[in-house]
Amino acid sequence: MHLGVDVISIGLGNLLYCLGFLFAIFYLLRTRHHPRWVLYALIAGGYAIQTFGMYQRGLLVEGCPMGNTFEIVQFVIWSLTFCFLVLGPAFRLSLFGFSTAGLAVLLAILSFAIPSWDSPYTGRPFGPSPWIEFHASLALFSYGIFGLLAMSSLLYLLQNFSLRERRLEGFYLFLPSLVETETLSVRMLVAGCSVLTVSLAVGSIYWIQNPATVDWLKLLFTVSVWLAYLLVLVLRLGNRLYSKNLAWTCLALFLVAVISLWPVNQSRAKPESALSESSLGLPHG
Amino acid sequence: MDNQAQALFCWGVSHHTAPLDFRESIAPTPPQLEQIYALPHHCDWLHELTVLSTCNRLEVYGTGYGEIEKSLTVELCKILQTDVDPLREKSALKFGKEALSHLFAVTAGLDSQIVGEVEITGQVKQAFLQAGKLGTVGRKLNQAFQRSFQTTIWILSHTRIGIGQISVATVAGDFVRKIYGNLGKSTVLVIGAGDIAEKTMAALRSRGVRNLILSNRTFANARALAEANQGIVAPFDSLNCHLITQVDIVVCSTSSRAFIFDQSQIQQIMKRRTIRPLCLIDLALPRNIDPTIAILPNVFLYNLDDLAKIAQSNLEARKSEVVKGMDFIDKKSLQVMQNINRT
Repeated sequence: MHLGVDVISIGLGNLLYCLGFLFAIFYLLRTRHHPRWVLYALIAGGYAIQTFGMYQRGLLVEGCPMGNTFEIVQFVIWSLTFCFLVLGPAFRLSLFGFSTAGLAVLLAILSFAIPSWDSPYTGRPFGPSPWIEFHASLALFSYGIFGLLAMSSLLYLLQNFSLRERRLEGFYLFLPSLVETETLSVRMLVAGCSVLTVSLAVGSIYWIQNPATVDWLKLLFTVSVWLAYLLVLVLRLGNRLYSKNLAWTCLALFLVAVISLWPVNQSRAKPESALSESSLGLPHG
Repeated sequence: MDNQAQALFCWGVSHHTAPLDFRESIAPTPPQLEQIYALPHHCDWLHELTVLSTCNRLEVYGTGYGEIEKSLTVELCKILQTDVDPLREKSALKFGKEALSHLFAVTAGLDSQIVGEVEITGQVKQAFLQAGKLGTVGRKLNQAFQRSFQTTIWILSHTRIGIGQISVATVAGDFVRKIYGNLGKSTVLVIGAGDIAEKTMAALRSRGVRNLILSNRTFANARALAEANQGIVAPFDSLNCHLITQVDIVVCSTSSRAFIFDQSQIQQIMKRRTIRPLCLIDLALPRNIDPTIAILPNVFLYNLDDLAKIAQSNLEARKSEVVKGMDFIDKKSLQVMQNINRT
């Protein structure tokens, strides 16, 4: 990992997320509440600095920075933070900012703790086609939304547990209500599925034109994740999957989706899958 | 004696020093209160005065000189038409920092019968405003009361004194809010018209519930309660699956010896409700709702025992926070007292 302006800025942005998370923990433990605007300001500040870092990295690689695992994880952090900054003030869910910062910090620590994730690569990550770049960035953006969906599902499960076990003290006191959390989850599910659908639609146009460039493993994982989330959405809208079962499904699906990044990225790392081959599928790492 | 001439004092009878019947006997009527407020105008030894009169205490805060206890007790006995000896016996007089600490503790709810209740803060503010209007507040009392409000804010935000509900009705309200969040669109069905049902209804209304349906074996009781709470009445024999399907929260507190709802009934109801959770609050003894219902998905059942245990544990937690609050008050009152003495 080379410590250029890009990495330092990304690191500083991640540090602000970390500060926000620690600030929230400190205040929750000490005074049992935290000023939301301070956390929001720290996350917004971190987001601005991270955006600058990502932009600098983009200039270096002459494209959207999603060429290795470090960049992919940072793009997911960037996406989920963006969604929080948009959705946070609208929903004002307790602990939503806190849990978003927590997830961002966890992913950030992982991305910096494994230096090999930021392995150098040559050329543009997605070849000359801007459409593939657009497709990949939308796909990763949907991962950010699904990440937030997993966080709201976790909050739902914790609240459900606290209500079943009659726990109204400590941490449980600050959890958002079940109905509000589920409403937010459904909206994020709709948003995530929509973005991933558009991403696949854009990618499929390129795939039809250049079938030889398709990495079938990536395609298989991506379409599986898309179908799974789509199925969850259909079942939810048809009132067949809801409450605790919906939350568990969304949480499990996100874990599967994140774990699937590994084989997908490994397949990209093979020498024969040249940059031009990273034409379709999620994520193009 | 000049310092003593300007001594800050607090004279009071409270739930710590006197039983309820005595407190009732000395509770001042509005004309008596006016007479007490008139004291600084014709008593040379009294400079400033604020009277705090609540169901748990009658306290006089002021500045003055000389034998305040004797003089004040005599004057109050004349106004309140009571004997000197019992009043002297059941009252307590504090000066300087001790009086200031007491004012801070009272304002923050640390000295209340229900520790942490914030209604007292409003009552202290009211008393201070009234004294201000009547011109019996000078620089010293003004500083003392202003600082007491600031101290209250610090204590409420830095301790857990006000966290957690301490009555069955308000704990039930908290559970309901944890399920539905905004209660403006939730519909509540209350079965039974007893005291606890009424209190729970008040707790739910204060949390935003607008749609109330009441039902009771005695229709007239349900109607009276509905009128008082802007609800509607459902005849007791109309309590069927269709009605329960329409509501979000059911509060039961009837004297029925048998279950009003059993598991199979609720299962049927849940099939029709689709995805909305159902909250059942059973405040009756013997219980009105089959406890095995609690295992059903999307159904949340709380009975009197569940709610009372939480209320009790919250009360214990509040009491343990008093020490933290009093430590702060001790430091703050010393600092404020030094400022007051300088003025």
